[in-house]
Amino acid sequence: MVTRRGLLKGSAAATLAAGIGPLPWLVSPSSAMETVTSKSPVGISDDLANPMEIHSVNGRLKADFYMEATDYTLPSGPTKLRIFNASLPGPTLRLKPGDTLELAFENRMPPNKDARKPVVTNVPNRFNTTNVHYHGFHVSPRGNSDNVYLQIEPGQSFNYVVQLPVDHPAGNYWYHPHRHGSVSAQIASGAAGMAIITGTLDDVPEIADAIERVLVLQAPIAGIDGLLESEKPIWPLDAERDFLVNGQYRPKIYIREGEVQHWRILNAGDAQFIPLRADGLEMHLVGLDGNPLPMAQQTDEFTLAPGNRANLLIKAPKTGTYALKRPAFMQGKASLPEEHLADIIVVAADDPRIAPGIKFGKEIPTGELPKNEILTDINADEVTVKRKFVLGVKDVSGFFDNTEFTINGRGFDPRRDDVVAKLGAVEEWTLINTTPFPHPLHIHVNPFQVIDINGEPDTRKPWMDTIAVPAAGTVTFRTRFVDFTGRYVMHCHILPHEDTGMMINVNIEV
Amino acid sequence: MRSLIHRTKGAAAIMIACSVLGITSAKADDSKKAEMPVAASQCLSCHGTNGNPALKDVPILLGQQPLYLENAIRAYQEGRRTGGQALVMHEIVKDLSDADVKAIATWFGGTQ
Repeated sequence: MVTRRGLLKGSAAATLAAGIGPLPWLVSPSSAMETVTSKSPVGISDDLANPMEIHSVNGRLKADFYMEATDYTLPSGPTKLRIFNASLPGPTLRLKPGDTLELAFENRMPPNKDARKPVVTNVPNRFNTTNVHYHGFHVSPRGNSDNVYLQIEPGQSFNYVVQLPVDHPAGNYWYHPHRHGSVSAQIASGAAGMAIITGTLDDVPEIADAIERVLVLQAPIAGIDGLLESEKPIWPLDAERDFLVNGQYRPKIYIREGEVQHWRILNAGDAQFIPLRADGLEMHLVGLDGNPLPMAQQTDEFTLAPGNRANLLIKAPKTGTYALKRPAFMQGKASLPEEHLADIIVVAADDPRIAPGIKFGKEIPTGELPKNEILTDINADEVTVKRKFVLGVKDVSGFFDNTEFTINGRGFDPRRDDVVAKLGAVEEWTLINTTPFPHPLHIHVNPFQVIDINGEPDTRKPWMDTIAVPAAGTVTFRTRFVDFTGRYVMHCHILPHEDTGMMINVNIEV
Repeated sequence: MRSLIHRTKGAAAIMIACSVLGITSAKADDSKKAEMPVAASQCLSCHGTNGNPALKDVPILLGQQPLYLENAIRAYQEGRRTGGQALVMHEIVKDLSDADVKAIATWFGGTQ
């Protein structure tokens, strides 16, 4: 049966593929940066395009950014989304260690409908107040840097200056809004973009030879009548979602027979995990949250929690059409359905639609992968303090759905320092999840090294900034508080949980 | 079908109902022969409303030997079982009284 929804999905895909979607963002000519337009890396007209990119020049990336309620046609129909620079996803930022990122940010959203109501902490509110977080960046959390306590109201502007250390780990990062109370509504709307800091894996010859793709996975939610004004559609974990890849519904991804492509994948969704499969193709993980694994690791399936990134080498042994899928799975006690994310079309190695000069990687690296040198293993004897954090939930009458999510029994309080530590401290944290759903915990500013999950050592000892604590399970990680003093947060990256309390303040002192 | 909302409200709802009514036990469901002790309500979200969990790495309590359950809970309380998911159990059971422990063990063991 042909349904209206089905027709809309078909027409949306066709419209976006034809490039008649939202107008591409126009770059201010005065900005200190270079732009790369959104385009297919293989040059085929209906191939998935990488998002447009903004590159730093001579150590600076200076650009104009804004968030605006933007007309957009989702598979379910036309709506308005709160997104950056009228682009879904936002432009990819490409930087080098030591660069300075300067964003002249403007909140162009309309006034908040609840502006006259008092804000109740841990109850979603004021969906048009915002700020910008640089997820995974090792930068100052103060002032006009990665300061998530800022409240940029509709009509206000703010100049961010984010200075990357010269030894900043290379990898895949991202940016998104982080104003407590409106994070879930804005990210569920699609406000997010990739940020790449170049180096390390990029210098591995087999990876340098490969075509690079950026895949931003999102499942935007429309409001009932245009702009989303309620937390209700976001709240059900098993709500039906239409997953988009770089803003497209079920796009085509071309790859040549025998080819290896390097995919940088970001789960920029607000709540649902994304296990990924591409049956019939070879998948080799080389990095998590941007940081290299010890060696390429072949896998049939891997999972990105909300906020996670992966560097994937994907190899196409034979011509044919394959599916990039999220298989049906259980997210804790929630049963989530299979999602067909994209068609992967493997064409002949000499397909005439692909110009001869286009990169053609064919090899998977077999030896040890290089490390981000600053991230050295943290051994037990280096640890100065151990802490535990219990993740939970409680009933609070009058809160959204009468619910407050908690860490160590308490919901978020912006006035309270939950962790006070000295600069230079090395700590081991154990996260204990007393709920029947996994919680992906993210800590700002300093990444951590995963030690064990449910007591089982992770022999890869990966460096990450977002880790899923299993339902009724535990995670232990170690981290160094280096370079930057100031307050920042650790929180659940299922954003409705963050907005309703699962967040703490970490204050690093001299 | 009611959608999931990131948590299991059933257990909490039972606990609240008991508090409001000032009663010490409640019917878990019609198939139960014994009344569920109030303290058991915190177990249900992970171990299932009848002791048969939806989570794959959480043990079935339905019909387990009560003495084994009692010993296990005490081991979690006292930190003799530790590491990994035992840390979760310690947080859940650390404040239970001896009477609560016995009641929970007996109820789950007797619900087959």
